[in-house]
Amino acid sequence: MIRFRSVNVRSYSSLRKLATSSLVAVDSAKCFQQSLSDNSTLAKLAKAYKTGKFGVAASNTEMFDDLNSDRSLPLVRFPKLQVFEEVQNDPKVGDWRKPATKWFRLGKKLLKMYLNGIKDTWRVFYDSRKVLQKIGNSQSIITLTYRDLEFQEIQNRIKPGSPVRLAITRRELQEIYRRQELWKLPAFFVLLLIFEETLPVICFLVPSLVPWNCLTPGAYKKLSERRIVSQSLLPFYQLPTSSPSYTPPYALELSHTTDLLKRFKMLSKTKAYLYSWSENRTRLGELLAQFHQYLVLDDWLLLQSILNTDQKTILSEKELVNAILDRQLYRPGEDLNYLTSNEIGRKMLIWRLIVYWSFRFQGTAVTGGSKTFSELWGVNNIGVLNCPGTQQLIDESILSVIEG
Amino acid sequence: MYSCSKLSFKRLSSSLAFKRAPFYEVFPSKKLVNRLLFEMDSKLTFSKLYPVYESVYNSLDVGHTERCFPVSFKGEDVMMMKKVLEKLRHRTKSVNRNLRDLENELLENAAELGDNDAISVLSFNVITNSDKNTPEDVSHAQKLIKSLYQMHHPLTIKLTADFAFASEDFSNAEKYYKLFLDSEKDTYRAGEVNGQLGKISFKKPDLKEAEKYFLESIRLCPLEQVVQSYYHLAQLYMDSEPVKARCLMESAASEGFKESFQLLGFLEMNYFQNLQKALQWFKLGMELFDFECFIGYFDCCMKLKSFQKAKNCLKSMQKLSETNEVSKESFQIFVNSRHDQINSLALYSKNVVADTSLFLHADRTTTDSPIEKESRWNL
Repeated sequence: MIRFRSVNVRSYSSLRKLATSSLVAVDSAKCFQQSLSDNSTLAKLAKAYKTGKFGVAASNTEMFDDLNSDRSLPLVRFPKLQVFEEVQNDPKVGDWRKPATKWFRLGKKLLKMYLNGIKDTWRVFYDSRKVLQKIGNSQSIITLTYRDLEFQEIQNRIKPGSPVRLAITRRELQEIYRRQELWKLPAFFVLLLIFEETLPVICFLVPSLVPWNCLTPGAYKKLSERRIVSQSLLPFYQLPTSSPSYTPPYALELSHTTDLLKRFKMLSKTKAYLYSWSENRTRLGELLAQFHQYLVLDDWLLLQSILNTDQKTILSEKELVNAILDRQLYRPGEDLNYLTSNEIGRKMLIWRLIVYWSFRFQGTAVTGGSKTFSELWGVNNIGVLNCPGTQQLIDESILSVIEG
Repeated sequence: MYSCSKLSFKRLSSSLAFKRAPFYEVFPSKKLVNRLLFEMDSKLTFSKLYPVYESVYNSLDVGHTERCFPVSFKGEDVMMMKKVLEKLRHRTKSVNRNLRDLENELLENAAELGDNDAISVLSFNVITNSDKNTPEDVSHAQKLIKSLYQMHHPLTIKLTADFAFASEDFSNAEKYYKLFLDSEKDTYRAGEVNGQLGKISFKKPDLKEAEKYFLESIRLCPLEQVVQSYYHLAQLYMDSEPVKARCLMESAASEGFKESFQLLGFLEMNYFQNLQKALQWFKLGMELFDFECFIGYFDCCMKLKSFQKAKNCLKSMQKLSETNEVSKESFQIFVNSRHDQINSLALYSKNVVADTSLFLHADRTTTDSPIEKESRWNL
């Protein structure tokens, strides 16, 4: 069974070409309707979104369930306006000292945020350790889970009836992925002791030093700008007009791979230098494949929740922003936190995710098809990594076309 | 009377025709035998065994080999001698007729000396070849197996499972293999049994359990005994960890496992983008007439722009497809999928003589295909 599968369907097969999903057309209302009828996944997801089966939680709701791990993510809104308004409306504070109180309380709020961030980073590390002990070590946990997913999907195809269930939830997966932030704590703590109240300025200037959940929206934007630069190195970016072709991690140039991995937080500068110096392509290729597998798993867990369960799938604002950042579904200059804070922006981001999933997962087992992700796209196909699934990202004008 | 004389003449002629080679020419080197004995943790040494092997070998055609063994030798010692030869056969992947006869003789002697393993093996040999044995022999063998099974003799349980596996009775095979593992957990045989259990799980399919069994199998056994475990494990890892899959597949290929060549070739060509290495794997597969390897070789040559090699490969494929129905079908799919590349090959032809001769004989030939415009000379 496996042999047949491996010889004839995968990317390294010799006779038959891979069947790939086509890009979702959003140029006009007619094209979009056509896409809805062609792509059943798009239709299902659009329906789930419109009926409220899938959505984003209301603002300022801290979420901690099987899907969301807000404690490991940064603020979406800078609390300045909120704090200033509170002080302004506080009758206990005299008018003459309101300007000073505003800044004092803002500083206090930020300090509290940093302390909570440090505590949460430790908690995430500690809790994820338990999960790792249950399953395996952190180095290969993503690969192990990815393999488990493939195995279960194949088994389910041959003997239907046993639903595919992974050993970890999405929150656990995300916390395992984000647990490395703990190693930033010592340096951050030293900075906190040295700079005290001026720490936000330092964090803004050097955001890479700060643990992920202690970032301010400004610093976050700065990091997102740095990350989107690497988009031009992705294979799909070279062929924006056609459907992506099969590209293994080893097909990229060494410098491109290291750059991408640095941007995806998969590789430190020192390691990147060492691997490049020793021309260790294998390790770099493996890391890039691992990032690809992490995204597939994350997508799968969300899609499984949306399409194959009865309860509602509600993503928090923080998770939405992070999902868009990981998948690079934004343009240079766009402030993701700002977009999430207003209704139109939020809709745009959700539709970008929906189209991205529809393109990648059309025909796979999780959306009602018969193939595993690898069977559909080939082994670790970097050609579809962060491909938005459309010719152009959804913006306000396209949103009006989609929503009618 | 006539037939009797004819038979004795036949025997005489065959004995004259087949003369055994001297023992020192047939028997492996001291170093190799010592290594095998060390691997099997035997207390016997080469110097002690060599004269025994020699005397049994020399008495093969005479019969009565019992007298060849020293008094201190027990059935298990004779069985150890047999296992040395068996391991040698596996390692060299070749069968020497003389050594095979010696091995059989040793097995029978071990059984006569009361070794249960030997009795079990011989009894199963009788049952599997029941058409070549008398009903009395078969029923006696069944009795022996039954009594050994009641004694929970491990090898008998394993052979029972092997028998069920060969008869595609996988549920019973699994039951007996598991029963075997209850008595033996960390021996070479346990490694083989884990490999078999892996295959059963693979068929179910319970791939996670199959992975566990194959891993245990390759942990316990040397490569040559469990090549298939390496191969199957490589297939399981192909999607998630191609680097690991490549390592395992290369191990299988180092033992000459035919199916591994094409997969390694495609993995190197498409995933690791190492065309030269892929070319070498495909070449090995082509020597064994694996059609997929021909296709891989063609693709590799096209990518490396070795058009002459690609053209030669195409010709070989065409010849192969004429002899085999399966290859014919594959060749047709191949031609349809590589239509443009095959056409472009004509442009790069360096086979001037062949093209010119084609031109010269064009008027005489009655083939349906006209001379292509895309030839080297723009004819």
